Amino acid sequence: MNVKHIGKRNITVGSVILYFTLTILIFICLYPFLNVLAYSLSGYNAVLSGRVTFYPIDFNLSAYKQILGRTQIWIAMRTTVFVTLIGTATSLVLTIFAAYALSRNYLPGRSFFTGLILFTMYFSGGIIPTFLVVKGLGLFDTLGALFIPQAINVFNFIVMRTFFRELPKSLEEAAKIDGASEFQVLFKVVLPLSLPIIATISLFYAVGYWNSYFDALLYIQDPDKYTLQLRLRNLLFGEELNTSGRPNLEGIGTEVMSQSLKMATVAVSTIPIIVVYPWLQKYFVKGVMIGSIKG
Amino acid sequence: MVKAEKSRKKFAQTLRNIWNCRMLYLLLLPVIAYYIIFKYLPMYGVTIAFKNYNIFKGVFGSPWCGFDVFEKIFASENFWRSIKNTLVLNFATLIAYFPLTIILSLMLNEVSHVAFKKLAQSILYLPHFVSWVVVAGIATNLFSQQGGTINWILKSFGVEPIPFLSDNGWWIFTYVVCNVWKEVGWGTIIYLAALSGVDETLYEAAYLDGATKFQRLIYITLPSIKSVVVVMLILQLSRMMTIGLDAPLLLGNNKVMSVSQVISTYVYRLGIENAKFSEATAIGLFQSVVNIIILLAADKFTKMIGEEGII
Amino acid sequence: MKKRLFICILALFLIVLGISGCGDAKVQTKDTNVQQGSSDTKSTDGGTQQSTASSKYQTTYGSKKFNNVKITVELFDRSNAPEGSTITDNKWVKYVNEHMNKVGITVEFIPVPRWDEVTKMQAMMASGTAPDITLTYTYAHAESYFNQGGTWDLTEFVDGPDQALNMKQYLGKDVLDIGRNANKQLYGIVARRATTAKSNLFIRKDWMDKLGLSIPQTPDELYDVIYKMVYNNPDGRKDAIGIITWNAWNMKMAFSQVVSDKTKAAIANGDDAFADYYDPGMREYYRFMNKLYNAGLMNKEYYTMSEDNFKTYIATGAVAFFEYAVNGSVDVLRGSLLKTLQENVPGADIISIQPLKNVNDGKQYSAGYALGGLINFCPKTASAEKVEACMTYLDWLCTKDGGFAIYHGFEGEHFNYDQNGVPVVINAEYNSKDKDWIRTDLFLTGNQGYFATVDDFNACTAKEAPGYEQHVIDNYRNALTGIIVNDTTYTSPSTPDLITDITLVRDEYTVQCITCPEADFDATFDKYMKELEKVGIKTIIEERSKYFSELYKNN
Repeated sequence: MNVKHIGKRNITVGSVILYFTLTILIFICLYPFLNVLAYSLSGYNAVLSGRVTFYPIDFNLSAYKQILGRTQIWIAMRTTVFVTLIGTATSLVLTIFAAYALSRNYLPGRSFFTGLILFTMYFSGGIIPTFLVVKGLGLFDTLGALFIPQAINVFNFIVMRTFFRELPKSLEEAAKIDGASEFQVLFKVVLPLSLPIIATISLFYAVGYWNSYFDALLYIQDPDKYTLQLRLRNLLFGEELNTSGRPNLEGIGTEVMSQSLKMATVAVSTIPIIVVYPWLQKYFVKGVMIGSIKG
Repeated sequence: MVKAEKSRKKFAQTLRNIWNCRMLYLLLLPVIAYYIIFKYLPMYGVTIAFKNYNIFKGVFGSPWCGFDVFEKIFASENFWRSIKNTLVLNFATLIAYFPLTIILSLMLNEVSHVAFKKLAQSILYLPHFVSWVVVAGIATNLFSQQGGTINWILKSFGVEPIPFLSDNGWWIFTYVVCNVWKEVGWGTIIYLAALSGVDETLYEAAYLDGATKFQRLIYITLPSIKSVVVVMLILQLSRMMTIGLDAPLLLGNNKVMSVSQVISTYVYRLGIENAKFSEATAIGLFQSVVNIIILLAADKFTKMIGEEGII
Repeated sequence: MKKRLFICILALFLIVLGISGCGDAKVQTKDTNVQQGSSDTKSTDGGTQQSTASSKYQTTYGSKKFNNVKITVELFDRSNAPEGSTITDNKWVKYVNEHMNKVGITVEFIPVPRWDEVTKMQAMMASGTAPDITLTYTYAHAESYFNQGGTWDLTEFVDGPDQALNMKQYLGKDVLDIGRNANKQLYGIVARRATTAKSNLFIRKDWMDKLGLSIPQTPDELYDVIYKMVYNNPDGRKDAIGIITWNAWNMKMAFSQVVSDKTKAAIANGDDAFADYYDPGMREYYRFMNKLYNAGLMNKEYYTMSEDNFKTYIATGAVAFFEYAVNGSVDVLRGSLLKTLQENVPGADIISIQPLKNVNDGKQYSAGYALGGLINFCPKTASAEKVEACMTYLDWLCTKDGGFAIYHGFEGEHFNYDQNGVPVVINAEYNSKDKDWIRTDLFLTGNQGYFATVDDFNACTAKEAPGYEQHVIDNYRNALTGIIVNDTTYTSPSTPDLITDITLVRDEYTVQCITCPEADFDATFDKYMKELEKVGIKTIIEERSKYFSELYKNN
């Protein structure tokens, strides 16, 4: 039973304010998204004339047809989905290993290894040297280059380690007394208790992989291996980044994307990953065994 | 005599400890390999900041030039201004974002209506996914002085239109608002994960002892997420010198350049426009050094007040 | 234990690999069929002209049959390949190879995302993976690569009397020379622009007519016209915007005091900051804009405007006068603004006007692009034989079978000739799906198309905006009225180091100058000048002065 909420069944001033505020926030957060969708589904004149707010005017699907009608977009999406899944799995495994091992405060050299990892969050060799390593390993123009060099994110590692540290030691000690090895403690005790954080870190990694484009830009040459973001970013970002004010030497002859096409691009590139979180929410529940621990 | 024996015993003990933890080291193995190969091997690239980098001669073939690059950078007034602006923007954002994220998480945690809670969680984090290009476009329309929605509302209350985008001070405000709006929902995810791990029985016991909802909040909920809060704070403080490119670039404009020009936009102009690899690397190095100093300081401070730090 | 040992060895191996691989960025691509006799390594400094009968490198298409040489060519990928084709597998790639195979060359295209081309190019050049023909719109990078010793000097491939004949004929000496550095070394092949028309001044004709105004010819007249259009608006609009200078190229010409002198005009070119500092007339330009701003004739927060906002204002009929890219009012590729405007506001019309008369000498000046567009160059990772083949490819692109076919298509399928011999589009939609999506990026030696003359270009382009042909012709004509002042392509040696800070000052202070109260204008502008001096603009101006005085001293 949800004890926290005993005594709160009646409508209090507090709860009214709570729900009201959250509802306002919901609308504020929803608006831009509705805006994007509306633009992507509206007619050309309405979009150009700035008449679209949060519902489509002159509804039409031409922008989506233009994007989704291209095989290359689907190929890119397939690539991105694949990289996201494999990458998240790889990252998760490595991060869990690192976080678990380094959360054991009896491990000799713990500070040294943690420091080693932390250091890389601040100092890196840069694009070209990393590129040369990736190339030297034969990963150039392979999908491996899109997740192996980025496998561990230090921030995620630190967060996961913090959570592991917070788990009650009693359960682990009990298991060890029963003869469990470190592996068994990890898989049978720690992980089941850590579903929320695993779900969270998976989400972080998944979103990271889904949104990344720079690695694809650097390491991929075969257009069939382009990721979705790389393809779409070029459609969306073009003029925004031409900041220097120098005349665009390209001049005439190159197409400028319409607003609705840009917005459809945003929609296509974000909707698939957005639906992951609600799906993961079921893991944000109490750890399975926590209720059974007594002191 | 005794000392030597003591240290020999200690050494033997350490070896025994290592042997006992061999499984843990096995777990660490792929991780360390990863870091060596992909992070430490390329680390020599940091020397670009001290060289006259010729991309065809490569890093090793390019001649050293000592601190010349740094001197050039430090001589630039624009560089120091970028630093100042970066710190100001990051700090202002942190002050708003950090507490609001926690408060929002607590609020969501208090929602008893399960469906509503799930809905709220799913929608509040959407802005994180909307690209800054879109957000900047919306913000411009919303906050503009002539015909922007917000000013239109203010006008109907008799308030003078506010130059949200063209006045230095107000621009910082707008920047913070946009950032908070974009990230606060996403930021709650971690705290919600922590909150869902709080032991139910503690609430039971407190309720039976007659604690009010507010007291339960202060004495149970908050302490249970304390370590997460501390870690997040340290991590975010240690990024004070770093700032993303998209937000200041897209939200900024030439009128407010004296507050919107930050390190990332400066490096962007340097790097993309002029292929100034050495300068860009040097600035990156500078940022890293400062960030690490902040990290160490924050970590030390945390340990001093009795919390577990990061290192 | 074994695992750990293995990792150690692996790591050690990689360290060695990394160290050895880094110092030498050259990756020699091995040709399995090496041309007999020809030496693969050739010294590249100074072009020694072969004055004897046959040049060492035969680069005119058809003058030599290569021995199965494969070259890689960069191709911008705009993610717009139509259904059934991909960027590397489509009828035009096949067409190219059909013709190049006849002389023993195979062309492999390496796609590069268009908007990240500079980043990608840097990475490719630094790691030795750049295509044999690499291209960019940023000359400074190309020149910098050459100066660092990373690209070929093309002089000996092109300058000989029997070399690259088609290329020389299509591009012409002026355009070819753009790709030469101060020592006359040819570091890249520059594409020729079909037209150098750059910018148009646009005005709401219907408002002019309704108010009985005539076309303004001077800035003062323009001020009056704009003022009336905003405060006496014929449509009764309260939100009319008097003027938007999305670019201000032609507007500035009307105030410039140096534009009549070729050398001085060249010195002031290259960046707005140079002109602002070097040309005293610019102070008056900004004063004029300041006057407009303070009279409420500009959007109050114009500096926050994005191009989409700008287009929206125009398409909803709010703007009286604006300066925009040439033909921007009816250009289909820029959104057919006029067409949309006329849907929203029946009876509206936008026409371009001739450049305003310069306030100092009363003449009309038009800003023009430099004669060249993008620049092609060959990284040293390509062997001499490949470079020879590359130049042959570029030479072929300058022929009718090459550039013309790629740009216009085939007679009967994509176009028909009209009575003046101008190719007229048959079905625009078919063309756009069949060839237009790739034509600009394949045709490396020409910007905007394969045309013998500017008039050809104008006539042909007019047909591409059905219903607005006359507008198109007028736009292009107006954009090249009066004395044309073309952009220069020279970058002085100190520019890369100083330009970042200079442009920051420029961006910050030009806005201040325009938006400050009228009384503060001179003080603000003086501050702008001082700030420019602080970041070293004098150095650049001196370098440019030296270079251009040298260059034009015999003119």
